[in-house]
Amino acid sequence: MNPPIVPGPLPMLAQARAELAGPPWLYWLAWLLVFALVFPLIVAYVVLAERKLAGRFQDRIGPNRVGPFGLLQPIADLLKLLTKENIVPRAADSAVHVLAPVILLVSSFLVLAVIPFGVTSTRPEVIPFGEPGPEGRWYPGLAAVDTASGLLYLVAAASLSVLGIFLAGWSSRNKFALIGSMRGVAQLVSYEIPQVLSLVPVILWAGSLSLVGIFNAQVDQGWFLWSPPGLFGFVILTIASIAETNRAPFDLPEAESEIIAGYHTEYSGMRFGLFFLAEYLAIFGIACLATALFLGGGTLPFTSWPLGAIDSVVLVNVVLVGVFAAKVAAIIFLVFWIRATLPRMRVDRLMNLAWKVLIPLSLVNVVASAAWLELAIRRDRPLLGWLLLLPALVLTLSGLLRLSRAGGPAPVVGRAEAHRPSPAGRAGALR
Amino acid sequence: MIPNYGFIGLLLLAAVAFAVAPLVVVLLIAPSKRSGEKGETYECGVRTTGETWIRFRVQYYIFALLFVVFDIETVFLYPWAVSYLGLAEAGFGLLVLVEMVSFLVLLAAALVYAWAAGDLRWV
Repeated sequence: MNPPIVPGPLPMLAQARAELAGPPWLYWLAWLLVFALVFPLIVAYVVLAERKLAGRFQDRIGPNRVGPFGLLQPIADLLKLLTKENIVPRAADSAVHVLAPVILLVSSFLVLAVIPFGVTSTRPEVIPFGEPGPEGRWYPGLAAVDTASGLLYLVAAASLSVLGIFLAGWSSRNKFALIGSMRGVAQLVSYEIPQVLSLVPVILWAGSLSLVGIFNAQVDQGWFLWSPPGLFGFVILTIASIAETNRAPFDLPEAESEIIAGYHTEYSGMRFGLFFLAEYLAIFGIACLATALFLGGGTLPFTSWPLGAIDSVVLVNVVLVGVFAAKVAAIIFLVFWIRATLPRMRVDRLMNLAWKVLIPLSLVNVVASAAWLELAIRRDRPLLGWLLLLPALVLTLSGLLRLSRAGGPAPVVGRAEAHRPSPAGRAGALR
Repeated sequence: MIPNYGFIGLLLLAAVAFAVAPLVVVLLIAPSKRSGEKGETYECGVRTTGETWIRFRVQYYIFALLFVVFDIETVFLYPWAVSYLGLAEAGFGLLVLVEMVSFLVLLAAALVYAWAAGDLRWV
């Protein structure tokens, strides 16, 4: 029944295990350890990488004192945060104040649960863990959890972060924190829509909400990035995700030049550290998500090479996880680069970009992805698909950009009312 | 075997523990000296005046309402996207496509209405 497996370049190792074996509890214990140790460690060094790179972007060296090349800096930072006094303002709602960073961190963690980093078996028929795919067609994914509704779960878990940000600002009972959290909520709910809509093409082409199913569809069809709707979906997802994680140029909720530190103004010591950890964990999470959905997970471009060629699950995973990590690193670098390059957006332009450009564009992109499915995937005419859809999408984008600026630049806030006495009730209103 | 969602529950507990553990460590080893000045609300050193928990601008609620509309929409789009491939293979492709496009047009009309009414303008 099994197709003959071609021996890989290392015939000795090719005889090794074709699937990870063991009781499920062992698999889950291993994943718990990964979540408790490996992901935080990665995130700690992502922070260091950002500080080093930000230094280079600004013609500085960056942290280089603690350990060789500053490599022990994250550990020193952790120790410092742990020994700092925890200050809660008297006016704050202390129970909610401690709850907010916990919610945010939990949300960032849960997102990572369904990401497939590799495979647990090199033979689609053998399913050691997780949900069985369509009979003998799917490589089972190396994800902590593989459920049929994985992507829906992921979106739900990610949207919990709005709650954390709002509770943080509200419970602090600080006006700047409140402004920051209100901005954060407005921004996060606005950018959640294009983020969620940009995933529809992937679901459509894979016919599945399971991230393992999406990975397998890309093993068959090639990366979803290689199509006009896929390209647009990836860009929309990236922009919306940067906004979702409050990164520059979308960092208005924590704009330090106007509202101190925004929603985490009243957080110090380790509670601030949790916010910090949650933010970088979320960046890591969305980089993983974009990789798994559009960049083919751990597969190399234009080939499914280690899958089906090498029998050893360990060797295959070395390749898959390595390639996955390289893609994640590239996306994270892009996020850092954007932060170092673009200044912060103005709030009206921020909302314009979401509601007048990204949301209509992603609606059109949904239709375009259905057209791509009919033309390129079901009727096998990819060239016609490119010729029709790329100009259509580019025209839509340029039209929307033009429309969103119609009526000149957005009015300066309060310009119309500047000469009128403000109504009594508005005097105390915050922006 | 526990279904997969069981592990998500376990992971939820682990994540809460992971977030709470450093806070407990702080409670044990970090100094804690309360003083009057330290407990003040930090608003750039100026004493805070007036109530903070007040009614907020209506602008935010308009966007929140729009968000609810479009978020529900995506909930409808996901099952459509999942089942499209199967239905297209069964020969209902055109019907399903037309249905979804008309649904999207309705929603786009709502967005156009909100845009024309000026609700998307941040003032």
